[in-house]
Amino acid sequence: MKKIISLTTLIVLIFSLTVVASAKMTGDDVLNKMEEVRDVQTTQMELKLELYDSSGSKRVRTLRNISKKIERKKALSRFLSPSDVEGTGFLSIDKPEIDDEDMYLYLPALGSVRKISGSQKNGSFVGTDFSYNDLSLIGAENYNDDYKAIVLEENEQEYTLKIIPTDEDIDYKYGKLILSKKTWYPTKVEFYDSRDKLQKILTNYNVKQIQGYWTPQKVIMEDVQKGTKTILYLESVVYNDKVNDRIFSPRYLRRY
Amino acid sequence: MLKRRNFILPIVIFLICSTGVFAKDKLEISGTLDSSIEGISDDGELIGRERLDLELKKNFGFDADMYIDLATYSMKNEDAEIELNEAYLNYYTDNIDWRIGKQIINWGSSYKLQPTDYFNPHDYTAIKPLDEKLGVKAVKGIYYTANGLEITGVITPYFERNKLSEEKENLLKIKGVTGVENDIENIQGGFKITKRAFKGFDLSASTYHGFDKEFIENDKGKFIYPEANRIGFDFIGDFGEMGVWTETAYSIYEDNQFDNRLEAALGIDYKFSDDLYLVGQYYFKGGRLDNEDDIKILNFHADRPIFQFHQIECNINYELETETFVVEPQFNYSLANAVELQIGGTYVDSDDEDDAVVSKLGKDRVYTRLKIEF
Repeated sequence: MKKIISLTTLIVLIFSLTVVASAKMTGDDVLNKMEEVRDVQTTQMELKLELYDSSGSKRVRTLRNISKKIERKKALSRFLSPSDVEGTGFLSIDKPEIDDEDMYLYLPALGSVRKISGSQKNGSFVGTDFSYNDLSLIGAENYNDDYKAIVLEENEQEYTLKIIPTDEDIDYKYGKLILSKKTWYPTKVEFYDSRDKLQKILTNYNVKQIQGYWTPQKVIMEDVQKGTKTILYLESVVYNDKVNDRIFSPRYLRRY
Repeated sequence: MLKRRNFILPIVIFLICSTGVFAKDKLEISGTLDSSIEGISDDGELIGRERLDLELKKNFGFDADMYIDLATYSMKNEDAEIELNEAYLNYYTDNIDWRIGKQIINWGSSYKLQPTDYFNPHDYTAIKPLDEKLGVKAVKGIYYTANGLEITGVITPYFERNKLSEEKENLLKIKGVTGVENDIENIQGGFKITKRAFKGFDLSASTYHGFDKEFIENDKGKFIYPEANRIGFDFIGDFGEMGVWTETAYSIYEDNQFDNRLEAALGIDYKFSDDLYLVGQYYFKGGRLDNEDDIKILNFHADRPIFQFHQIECNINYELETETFVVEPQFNYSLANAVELQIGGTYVDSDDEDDAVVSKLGKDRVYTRLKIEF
């Protein structure tokens, strides 16, 4: 009888621990699962960007973005219009061995590829409300590489995380990320500056499954301090198609 | 002159003829209309400039493409001139990118004054001379090795000098400078080896054989563009978050009367999170003769977007030897997509304006400039 009681106690204990462990994911576990769920190898997308100033005036741009996550993360972005930014290209190659990345900018007017310094990564990406560092957040990538997280709140529908940059090049002090448990895709991210003031809000709208991956059809990055915003519309996207590794090079960046 | 035209003509004819052959790749037409008015404060003169750049681009599959920049420009109500600013064919193989035709070859990482930028002269008739380079006829090949090196070779059949303003040309004529050859029909060539992302830095070493782009009076009283061999070195990267670069070129002259000279630039840049971008650079160029002074210039640049689509910027150049300041503030007002109105000015403070190199960048003036890109 004693043996049966002991065995039952042990089973109950193990079961309880398992339940507790699965229910209480840490913030970093959540970020890692976000990345695992996506597990996209390559992405090719075309985007329309609407830039608004504080008075509501608008400028429109179109952008092609190609990224690959095999061995190391690489991304190539190219403006397609209007003519004053057409051809402007941006290349980013992750270097996980030194926790850094090489970033290059190509400006057609200069005709040459130029290495971008660390400080420029926090600057605006060609007039948008996205910084160079923010670009990887389009597609909900790199959160687990660039941030650590603490769970602030959890309910049946979503997690609320405090994300703190681990990459020294990111100027935000911290962010607040709301993640849907259904899609494992962030619905909203608030970024706070070094004075704890809300600086930017990234909101993903109309998240749909495309080729099995949850994908927002519209993304708004709002700079609440400047009163400006950039709205990004997804024009087309193809996941996991073959992408030649050679395009992620300064050679192809200048080939436009 | 006929030879020069012959060099470009086959490219233009090929481009026109090929539009039917490669019908699936459309001819892309774009361009820039640039109209400006300068008011010179010394004499109250108003100088109007109009420039239309018509750019034609055509792809021939994935292996080749062509680009033509046909510029029409006029200044001070003179007759319009038409010139091919650039016209070249690109051909891509597995490991080599070829470019043949009139082109701009940008070497060097420094800010505007680049010692290893050997080939293209500046256009000192332009409203912003350091932003405008003249195309040169050249064949360029870049070989990409398996271990990540870029080896670039350039050959140019004709030498081109810096383009000076009419006033400066007249001033030189008064000084008796009339016999300087514009085109020296000798081949210039250069090689460059680049290693990118080496411990976070891009490194380049280069060699060049050719001519100085600015002339000098030799010991026989003739004005010549001295023939020189150069070796250069360029590196760019970052320390912490600050961008750093240094670029040097050492010239060894064929004619012993000229002193070998060093040209170097050392600079830093930093961008704040509010998009304020700052550049500081020291530039040095040694004299070629005892009576030619060394040039030492401090360059500062700042720019910052305002109200999202507009920008303010300021360039300050200080030449140490002549104690000359050139200050150039500018406001760029975006009127619409690809339409910009620039309003700016130049203030020159110098006791020795004729000898100051930085005074070539402009006189005391205010200007407005409308740029429409299509």
